[in-house]
Amino acid sequence: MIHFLLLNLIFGQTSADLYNLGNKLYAAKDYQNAIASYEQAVNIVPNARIYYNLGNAYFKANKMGMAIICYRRALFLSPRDPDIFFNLKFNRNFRIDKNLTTENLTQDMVGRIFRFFSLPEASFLAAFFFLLSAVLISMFIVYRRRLWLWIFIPGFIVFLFVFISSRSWIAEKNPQHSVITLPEVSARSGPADDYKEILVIHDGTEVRIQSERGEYYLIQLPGGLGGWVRKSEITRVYPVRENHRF
Amino acid sequence: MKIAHNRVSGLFGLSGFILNLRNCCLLLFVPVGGLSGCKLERLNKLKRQERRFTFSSSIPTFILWLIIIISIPFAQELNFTASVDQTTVGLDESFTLNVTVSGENMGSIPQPELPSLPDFNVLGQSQSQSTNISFINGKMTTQNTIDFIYTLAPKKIGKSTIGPCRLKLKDRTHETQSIEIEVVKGSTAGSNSTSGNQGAPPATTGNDIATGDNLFILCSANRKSVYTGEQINVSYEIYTRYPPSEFGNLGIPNFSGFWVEPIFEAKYYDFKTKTYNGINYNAMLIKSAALFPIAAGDLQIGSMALTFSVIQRSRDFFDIFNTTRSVRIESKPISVRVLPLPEPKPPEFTGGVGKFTINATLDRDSSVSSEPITLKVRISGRGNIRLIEKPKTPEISGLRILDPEVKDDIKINGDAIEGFKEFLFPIIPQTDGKYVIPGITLTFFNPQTKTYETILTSELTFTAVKTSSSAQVNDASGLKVLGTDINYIKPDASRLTPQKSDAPWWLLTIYPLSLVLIGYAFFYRSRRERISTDVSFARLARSDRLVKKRLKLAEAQLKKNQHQEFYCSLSQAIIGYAGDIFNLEAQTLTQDQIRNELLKRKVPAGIVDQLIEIINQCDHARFSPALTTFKDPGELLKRTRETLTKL
Repeated sequence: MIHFLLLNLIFGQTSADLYNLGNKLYAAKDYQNAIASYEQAVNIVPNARIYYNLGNAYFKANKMGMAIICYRRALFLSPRDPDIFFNLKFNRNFRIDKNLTTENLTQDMVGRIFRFFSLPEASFLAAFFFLLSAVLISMFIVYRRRLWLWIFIPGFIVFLFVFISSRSWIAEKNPQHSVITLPEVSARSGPADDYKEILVIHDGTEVRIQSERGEYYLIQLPGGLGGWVRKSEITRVYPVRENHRF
Repeated sequence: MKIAHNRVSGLFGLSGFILNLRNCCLLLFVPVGGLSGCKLERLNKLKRQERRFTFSSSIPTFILWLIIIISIPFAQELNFTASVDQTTVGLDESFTLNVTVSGENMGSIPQPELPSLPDFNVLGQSQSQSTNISFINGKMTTQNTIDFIYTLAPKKIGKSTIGPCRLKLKDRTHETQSIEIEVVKGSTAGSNSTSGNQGAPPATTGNDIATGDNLFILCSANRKSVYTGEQINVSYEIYTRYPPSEFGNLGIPNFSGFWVEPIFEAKYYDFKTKTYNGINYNAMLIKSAALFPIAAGDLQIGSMALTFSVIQRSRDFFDIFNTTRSVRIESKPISVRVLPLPEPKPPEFTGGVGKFTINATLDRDSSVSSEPITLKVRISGRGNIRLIEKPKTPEISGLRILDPEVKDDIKINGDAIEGFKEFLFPIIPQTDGKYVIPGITLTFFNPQTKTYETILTSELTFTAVKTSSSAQVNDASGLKVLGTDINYIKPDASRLTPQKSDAPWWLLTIYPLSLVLIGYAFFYRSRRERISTDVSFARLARSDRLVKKRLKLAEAQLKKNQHQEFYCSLSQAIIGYAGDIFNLEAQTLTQDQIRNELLKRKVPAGIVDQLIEIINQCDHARFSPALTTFKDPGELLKRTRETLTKL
């Protein structure tokens, strides 16, 4: 059954077919092939559902770093999906280096509120409310009626909210964001093999790429610690490539 | 250390001996011989072959020699060869024919019979004898070598043959092979030379250095047939009969198809005397390594190449400095047969070939709040330790065993590779409880017994408390939560729509547009304010609209042929427009007053005159239509428009 399905993979298929095939493989606990199937599906059609299931498959295959990347991408597309939110949080708690992410409750809540709308939604709303605010303030300028001002103020507040939302998503999409995708990585004090190892970080640790030198990246952990790691040891959450969905 | 071999002298009593202390074996060496009628040149040449470390003999040595020679029993085996120092000779040159008789425990040797040499002149003859006595493991062997050296000069150009030399000894006739000599015109310095004289060191004065038996790298493997993953040792040794000198490595041998663990790597020159195929060499181990074949089949162990510096003696007798030449030598590659591991392989086989032990430990026996516990599985023993893959870990509900961190350490014990490999599995407890980790198995292939062996660790236990889900273990509802996991995947879909991660670019244009809107609102507001406060501005602001309206009215009246009204509207349009622009009460002004006001406001005189003329004509047409000379009202309307535009 599964082999027959795998054979089908070779031929051109719609994203939904590949996604459904991935679901079957996942149910059969063949996570490696499920990953391959979901990856192809998501390359054709970027969709939060596929990213979510792909993240699950990576998690089951013990690749926490890749799972975190997939959940973050899924959340980017569908920020109000509670499943994605739950699994991302679960995965983050599951990491070996969990004590590095000290997200407190208020931060969490603020993050959830400002990421209620996705980037395209927030962008549309921001543009709409800015235009609305401009019209209202114009009415006030022309007619000098206080009424317009009272309508303008809440409109502008809504604009500020969705504008901060969209900026927050753009900040999230920063290509500096990356995740360790190997079981264990040693960060060194310089961009070559013979430098001293100063830090050991594990799969799934979310870091920021500060600079690039040859085959190495200078990374910084949330706590401020940092070091040089090989380029192959980490993966960017949102690649810098152009014309890519992510 | 090099041993002196050859010594030629016209006197009987010259001899030398060497004590080779390092090998604890005594080598005595006495050349005995006579010289007759040899050219001085030849003598010098042979003298240059003297080696260092020879001691001039003394009388006691000589006596010792006599005793030894007398005690030697007669020979059984005899080696009788003839050789020339060069096969291509110039007509003006001489060459050497070397007839060598060597054998163990030889008695006296008669002079060999030379063949008839019609094409050559025999210029001289000399003899050199050497005896090599060695005590090895208390047994004495004597190797005698007598060289009969003839100096020959060719008589004619072309190919000539030196026939076989004969030696009659104890009713047996020994014969050498015949030698072909090519005689060319002039001199042939630098041509090929055959290295003669098996017992003597090779000549180092020629331009070519014979390698072959004199200088080579020996690559040897301790086994010819192994299993995949079984250890095979390979070593590279240099053998030379030249004086020991430096050499440079030309890269690492190619060991593709093998996992390599270096055992020995020469760091300094350490030549030792070693016998190979019955000949003494200066030998040195350059490199040895343990190889573990990765796949079955006939595999080649790569050759090693290096450059060896051969010390050459100078041709000049008085020149005491030697020159060196570097010679490239390469070992022969050897092949090994690698057998596949016997089938069927047990499913839990992880690639180990050798003899191993396994044990497992936990770094702690309790975990608080999901702190990871490390399970250390240590595999130690002899064999391809580095190639062993991680052992299978059991699936335990409530525990998550992550991918291990791997450490290994390898030591060389004699020729065998020993060491350990550690797998450090982080274990994260998800629910509280007491956990038992069952024994972890290791299956490896033992090449000695040619069977697969399975070994097992003992069971390990630990407890986990206050895990992240511990609060839910006994819920208020009475439900028991055993563990947490990620939410399950989303269901199948019949169609998936692409979700955009970016907003369209044109959305950004809304922002400047909105700002323009606000800017216009400000402009509109201020204009309106000015109109309501500033009369002249208000008149100016509406002048355009007003004049257009009046002109339109005039046009309409013209079409209806209401000429009186037309002329009235036209003159009012001009006067009204001028009044609006310059804020004049023009309706009440006379024509002269209008003219003065316009000129005051720096309107060009030409335009003013035209306007006044149009107004005059309108008045004429209105009040005295009979007198009017102007017949075309349409033309008048057109002229009015043009003039007003200029204003």
